[in-house]
Amino acid sequence: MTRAARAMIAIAASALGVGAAVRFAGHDALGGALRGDGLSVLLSALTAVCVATAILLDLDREDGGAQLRALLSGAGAVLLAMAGDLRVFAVGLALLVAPLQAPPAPAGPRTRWVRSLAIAAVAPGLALAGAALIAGEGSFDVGAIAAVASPSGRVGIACLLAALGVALARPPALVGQPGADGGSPGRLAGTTTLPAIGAFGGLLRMSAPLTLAAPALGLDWTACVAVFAAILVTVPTLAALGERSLRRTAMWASLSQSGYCAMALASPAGSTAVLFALAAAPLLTLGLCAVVAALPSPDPARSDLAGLARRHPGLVVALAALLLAQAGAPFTSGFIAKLGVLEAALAAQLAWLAIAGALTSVLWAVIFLRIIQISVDAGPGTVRAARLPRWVAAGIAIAVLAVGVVPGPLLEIARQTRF
Amino acid sequence: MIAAAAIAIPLLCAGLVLVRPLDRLARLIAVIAAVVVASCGAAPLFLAGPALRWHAPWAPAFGMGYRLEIDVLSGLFLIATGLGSAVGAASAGRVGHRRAYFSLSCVMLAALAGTFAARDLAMFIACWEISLVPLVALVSVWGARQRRAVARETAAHVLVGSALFTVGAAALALARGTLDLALLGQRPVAGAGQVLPALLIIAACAARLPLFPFHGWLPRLFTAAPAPVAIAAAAGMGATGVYAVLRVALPLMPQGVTALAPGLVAIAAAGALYTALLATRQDDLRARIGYTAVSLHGLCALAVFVGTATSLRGAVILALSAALVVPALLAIAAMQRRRVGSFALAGAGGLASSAPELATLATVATLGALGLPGGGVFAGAALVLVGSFERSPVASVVASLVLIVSAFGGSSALRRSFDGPPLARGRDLSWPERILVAPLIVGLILLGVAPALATDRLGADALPSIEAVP
Repeated sequence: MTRAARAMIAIAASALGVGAAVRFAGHDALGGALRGDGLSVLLSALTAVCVATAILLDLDREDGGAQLRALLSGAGAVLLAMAGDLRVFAVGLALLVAPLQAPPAPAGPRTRWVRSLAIAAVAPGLALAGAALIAGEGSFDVGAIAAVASPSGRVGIACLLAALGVALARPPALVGQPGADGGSPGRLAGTTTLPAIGAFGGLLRMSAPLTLAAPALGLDWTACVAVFAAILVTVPTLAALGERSLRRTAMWASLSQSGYCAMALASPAGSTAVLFALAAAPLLTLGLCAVVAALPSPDPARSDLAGLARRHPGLVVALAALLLAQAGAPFTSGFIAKLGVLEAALAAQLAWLAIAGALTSVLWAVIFLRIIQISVDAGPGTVRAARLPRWVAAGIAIAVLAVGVVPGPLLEIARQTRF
Repeated sequence: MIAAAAIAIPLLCAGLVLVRPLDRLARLIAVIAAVVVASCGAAPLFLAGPALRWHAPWAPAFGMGYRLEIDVLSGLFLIATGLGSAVGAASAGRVGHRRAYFSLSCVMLAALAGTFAARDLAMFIACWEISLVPLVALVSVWGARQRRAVARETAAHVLVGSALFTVGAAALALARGTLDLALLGQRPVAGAGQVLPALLIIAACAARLPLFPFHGWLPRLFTAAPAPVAIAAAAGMGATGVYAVLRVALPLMPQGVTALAPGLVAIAAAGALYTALLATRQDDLRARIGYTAVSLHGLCALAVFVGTATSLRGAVILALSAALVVPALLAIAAMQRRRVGSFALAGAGGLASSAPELATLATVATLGALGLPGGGVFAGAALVLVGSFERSPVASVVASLVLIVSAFGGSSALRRSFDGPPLARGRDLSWPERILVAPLIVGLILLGVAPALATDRLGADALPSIEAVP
């Protein structure tokens, strides 16, 4: 079977998944273990787009397992978004992180491979432990979190949140390890988008019962989320200031985008903002991954962009649009998302967080401006960008601008999504 | 529709210049776009009603909408911006990658027009921010030495202000559920709640004007940017800062501005004097003009923060005059550079013997910028000083010293450039050069001899004086 055929089958499979989610929207399955509401549909569609893009970006690579990894991780993200049962939650988390974190084959010393597998098992292990501890209070249902009172139950909640945090942060960290994925652009795309979708899907499922349980647990849920968001927004931004690698820049950018989503999560009335930001952020990261995939080097540095404008001006325009959108420039999806996130943060009386978020977007603008300036530099102009990723980047850039100019449809979907 | 045309036509022109063979007419197309913007700005002087408005939904869930309207106040600023941008486009000679150059110039013009025409705070911020993108691109690619660093510095300064502006706007959207300026003005936030949004928005304006101590980027931008880009930027960028206070901060948060006024007035007055002194120390003509521009904007800032009816009218006249005279000075500096070979005053001298018309033009423009009676700067500064004296006599006295210092600096620059033994020789003005600056000089003189043409058309509620604040 040709690579193209395998890719088409995989993309069709993810589209089928979205179709099923839409078809069965409004109906829970397995006795409520799988929720069939608007959140499931929205995140299924988003996951399908990410999976399809990851597969397309890997089309030119001889890696038969790439499509399988993307599909499995995507399935895990969808399961997390649909989880009404903590066992489903744990299985979803395992499916999400294992294909992304576990190395494709034993390369190098066997002990290193075993260690990688063990690290990959941390998040699912924490999730299973958390589920078991909470279930000890009576039920595996996600809503049972609201009734947690015992110390073991609190530990269980902590394990679940830690599992989500590890799932969110650990896979992207692998991007920084040279050779961990052979420079696969599809894996870069999957690693920087699917964990965020899955983790936030799981967090949104748990947010309502957690908010109810927080007073009994002596926890200020808003403050916890705010601190988490502040760390997630600022630390990657500061790390990206001195970053040379484009892959790691994309990784830091995706983490920072997750931080903006978390800012909106701090507000009880921020669901529209969270969902819009969650829908917009992966698109931006995918676009950046497509530009990285277009470059010939498996781990391109910023300096590799020099002279790109001479040979591929369209790609540079697309890159500029994507980077500016990441920084929240007007008439892009990033601007709409930024304003919504700031409103949500202010609604939760978190002016300090809103100002911090706004100022970090300025840092990102300066970082990205430097990258754009390098790409229009008078370099050798010998960079040959691959065709398919160029088209993918252009398509995503157009979509980002279209959503920025006419955000109504996506905003309406986000507003009407119930969970 | 006219309001939409002020943005749509420059954007259309930005696309047209990318198309072959229209790119051969790129400069003409850019000039036409600027003239159209100026014409749209003149429309409210003759028309009224729905033709000057345009609305469309944008993101209602977050209180955002596409709302445009041109009234007399925004129209005046549009006229000044359009004229300055036309001069900037016309003065662009041979440029590499001309399609991209003129396309970006048209996009910048469209964004500046959108800033003046916006009646929704989100759209205001969007146009305010997006105008920076083509400016940074133009400086980065077509600028002179250190252009990349200057572009990043400019972006950082202005974007920090924009970020704070966005937070302020988000706070208003949260409080009122809309970002429609008209609706926000009808239901202002309660007194104590105005201070934080006012502070955030004024911080944004301070970076944009620019106001001391955030002023450094503008003179450096003038030295690094190509002269035509600097001319266009001078026509629009600083004016948007003054306009933002007049259109957003004062009407929506009068008590907040009043609470912050004492400190702001002091900073504005001191900053205007300080930057006027700095101007006298510059050897590069462009830097000298840059600091002069900052000084003039400092006087505008003083006027708007004092907020009396007289000072606000003075601020409008002075801001419009600055938007005309600073581009004129930059254009004349570029003419001088073509003859002398550099912008440095050290290499200039005695140019009057070989270029008497150029010397005359430079003298008229410089004296106009220094506040000579008959120029718009004098009319505006007089109103500013008189209006400010009512509330802040000390600041008014400090600000009056600006005119004295500027006179020293300006006359020194004229003497070094045109008097004395001829260190450089150059031909006199050509007809295109005569025509180039004429509209700006005529506009400046018109504002000086008949300022009522502008101020009398402004309605009673166009300039929200804080004298009406309880």
